[in-house]
Amino acid sequence: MLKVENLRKSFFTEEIETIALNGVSFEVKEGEFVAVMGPSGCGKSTLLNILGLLDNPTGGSYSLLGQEVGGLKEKDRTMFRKGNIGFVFQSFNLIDELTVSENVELPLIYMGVKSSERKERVAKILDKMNISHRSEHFPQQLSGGQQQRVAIARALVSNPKLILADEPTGNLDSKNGQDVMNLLKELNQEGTTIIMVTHSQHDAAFATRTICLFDGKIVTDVKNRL
Amino acid sequence: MYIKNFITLLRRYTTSSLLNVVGMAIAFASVYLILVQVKHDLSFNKVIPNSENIYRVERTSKDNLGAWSHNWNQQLPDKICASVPELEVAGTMSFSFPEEYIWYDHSIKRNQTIDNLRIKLSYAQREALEVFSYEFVEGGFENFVTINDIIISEEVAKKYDLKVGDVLTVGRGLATNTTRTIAGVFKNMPKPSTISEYEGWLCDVGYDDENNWGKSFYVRLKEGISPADVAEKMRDIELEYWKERGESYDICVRLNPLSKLYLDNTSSLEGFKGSRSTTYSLIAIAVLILVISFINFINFFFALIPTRIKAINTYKVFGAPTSKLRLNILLETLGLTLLSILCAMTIVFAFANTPLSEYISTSVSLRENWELALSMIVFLMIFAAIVSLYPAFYITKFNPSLVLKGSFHATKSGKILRYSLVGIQYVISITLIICTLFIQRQHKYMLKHEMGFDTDMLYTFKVHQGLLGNGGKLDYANRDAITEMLKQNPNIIDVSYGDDRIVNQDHMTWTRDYKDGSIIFRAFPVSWNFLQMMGIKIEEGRDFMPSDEKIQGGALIFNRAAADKYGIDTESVINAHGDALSPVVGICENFNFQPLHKEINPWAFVVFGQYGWRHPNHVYLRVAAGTDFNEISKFMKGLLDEVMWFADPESYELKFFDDVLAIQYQKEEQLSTLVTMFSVLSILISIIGVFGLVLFETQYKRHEIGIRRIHGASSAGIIKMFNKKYLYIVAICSAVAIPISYYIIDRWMQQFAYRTEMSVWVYVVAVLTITIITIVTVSLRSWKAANENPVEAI
Repeated sequence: MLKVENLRKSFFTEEIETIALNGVSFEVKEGEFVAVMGPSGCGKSTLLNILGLLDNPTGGSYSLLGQEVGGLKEKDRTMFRKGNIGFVFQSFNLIDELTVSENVELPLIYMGVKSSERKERVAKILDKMNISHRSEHFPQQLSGGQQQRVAIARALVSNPKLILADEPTGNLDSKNGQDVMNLLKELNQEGTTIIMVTHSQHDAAFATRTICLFDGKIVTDVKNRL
Repeated sequence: MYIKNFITLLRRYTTSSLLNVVGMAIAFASVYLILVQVKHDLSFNKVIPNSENIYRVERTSKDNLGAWSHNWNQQLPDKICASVPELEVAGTMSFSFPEEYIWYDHSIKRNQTIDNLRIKLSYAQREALEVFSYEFVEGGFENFVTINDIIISEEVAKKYDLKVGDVLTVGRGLATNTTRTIAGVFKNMPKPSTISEYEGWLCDVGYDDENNWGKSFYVRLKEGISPADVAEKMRDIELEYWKERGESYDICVRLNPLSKLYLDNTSSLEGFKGSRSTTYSLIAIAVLILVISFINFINFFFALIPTRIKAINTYKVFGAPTSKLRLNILLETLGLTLLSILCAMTIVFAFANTPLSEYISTSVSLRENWELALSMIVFLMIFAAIVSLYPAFYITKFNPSLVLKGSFHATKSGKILRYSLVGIQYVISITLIICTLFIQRQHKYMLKHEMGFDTDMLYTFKVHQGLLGNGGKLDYANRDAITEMLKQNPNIIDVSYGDDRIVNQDHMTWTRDYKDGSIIFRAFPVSWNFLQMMGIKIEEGRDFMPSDEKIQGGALIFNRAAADKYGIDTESVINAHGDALSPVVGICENFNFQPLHKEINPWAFVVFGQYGWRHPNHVYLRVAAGTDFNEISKFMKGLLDEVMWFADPESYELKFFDDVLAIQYQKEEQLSTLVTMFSVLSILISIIGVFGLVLFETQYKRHEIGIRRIHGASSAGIIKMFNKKYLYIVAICSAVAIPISYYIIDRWMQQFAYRTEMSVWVYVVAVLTITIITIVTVSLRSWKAANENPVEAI
């Protein structure tokens, strides 16, 4: 599915260089559920942004679906993202002014899917996420758990090959957090590759493999016992 | 602390503060310039002492072609003055047109040197000048008694070092033996006023010819006297006057207040004329610009809310009272306003040194208009304080705990308000563009309109009356000699003479007996070949012939309007001037002899014949196609410098006929230029406002843009999203602005008898212009937001 080798990322602010990733290498195979852990500032989110083609690495290589994507321009990254990668964020990142179904429909619009097909796919995914009864509500009218289910629906609606989740339960209570993790697990079992950044040992236990980062380097990379 | 906060605001939000200040500075400078013009127009003549009691006496007859005339002879006013005790003081004076000042050239010999002087002069009775309360710094009216006495202004006296008793000689370089003795030096009259334009007065001791109707009659009434009652008395005296002469006219007399003459469109004002529509249009534009600029202020404030609200609420959490926070915002507003006022002053200072300042009728200097500038500053500060209340209350109304958690959401009512405000700006801008385009089109239409005669390759200039000969029994030899001299140039095809500019507001009006009644028409003395040279077609009868100048009563040619109205034909004979009868030899086609504001009225060309009171002295030249103006001008100068050596070369300068015609539309040109200038500025200010709103939207929607980008939206898609919203606003605002501008322009056009078409394309161009400007502005601003790394935004 994806392979990174000697990945580096530095940020420059007023002549000070901050190294976020320092020679990270690993490979993720199709159908894996990988948890990325580590303390704050260790480079987890930076790694996820690069894997999600939201940012470019400073050095090293990144191959996704057999294609080198580390040096792609912004426009090409956008094109590659469409339909291949789905995102789930800690703060849900739903657009307040759009309804649940409009939020879920968003990736399909940018993929150029026809209106009738969009409606069908949105209805189907909302049904699957058990949130269809809220399709015409606005995000602010939903609970945190419901909002995250909508965000997952949005990530899945384009049938991506890879789901990237950045602390998906960070803003949820334990009950809703558990539901979301069960949902991700279920998706993984259906064949979706998932990479999840988390602080929680509990959530990481749902993954099939855990990578630990510290100061921009991988310190452990282990398969979880299921 | 408040000053520190203000400086922090400027440093932290430099772009929006800068745009805000630029927008307001442009607006304040524009409003100041407009108000300088408006103050000039509204205070014209009101600055004269006792102006509320001063009136110009005007007269008309039932059928005087709809116009009030201010032309009087000497005898009738004298009779009125003697019989109306309600007049405190009254007299007659002659004015000349501002574009053709009587530049009497004088010289003074001092020791062995001769100094040439140019003084703007006209004639007045001593009593007429007393109406205006002239005060003297030296000498006075006591020696202002003969035709050779002159009084001059303090300014001229200083300029040329003149004093009472100095003897001036008429003409350049002591050209004649006619002398003028300075009887007094008067204090400069307050501006703006008609009489302040004259630098000196010659004593008018009266003129015996009752038929010389070229004087203005001014009166100052005693306190508490009703002008209507006095007008009624004057009317009775005039009826009596005509009765004594065996005439009976249905005369009306009115007393027109001096303070209202400048903007009064029912009669002319001795050349100095304002335009009510220009003045009121400018007032409206000033108000609109002010509205636009403060809308901008509100929009810029809201643009900063997403970034400022957290800081404000942090202050709240740590104990800052809401009232203090609001006061801080109020003082910020006043600070920005003050800064804008300072920048506006700089703009005004720079503007004063550009050619555009000539379109304002008076000095725009802040020192000379300090009262206006100070009032404006006070008004702006108060207005700014009021405007700041809404944003101050808005930003402090949220629950701090929610805001600090990041739950600030722009309210729906706030959103509607902001879009409505921008909508108002758009409606104003679109309306102004449409009005500007129509005013420009009408101005062009008037200049290009087929007047009914051939203006192609037509030049004109004025020769001194003395060169042509005296009035009375006319000798055409001098005129014919000048014609021959001019025709020596092979490029000059033909030469003819008219009494004045053929297109003019104030042609002579003649009332003459015809059949059993009287007829009133504009009369225009010409040389016999005038119609032929101007290409005016004869519909009935014949054109003038050289022999018409040799018979006693000369001849007349009326226009079609006169023939239709009065039943005049080529058999008619009219006692036109003097004692002899003048035959009507032809009827010509109608043509526009007045600016296009007016319909065509009865008109007659007059060839004087053997007798006339003067020679027509406006020369019209038709030159060959392709002739270089400069070549003819040079030829003319060489010729006239020789024969008119005693006159100022400016007085016989050759002009394009089209340029002379354009003088008639100066007011429209001024309006067109001012409206265009201020429309461009108001559009600029509006667009700065739109820029501010897009700034707000891109800040507020930064998160949304990031999410959309992550889910596959392209930069172009984001820019399109923003544009779509603003184009929707443009569409709605256009639908509102089009009928409003149609109404305004339709009303403005009513003043013209001849109007340009209300073309649809003007509306299309206006909407397209504002659409393109909007797309460019919105795209430029949203480009940055659309290309930001989405990771930063979410």
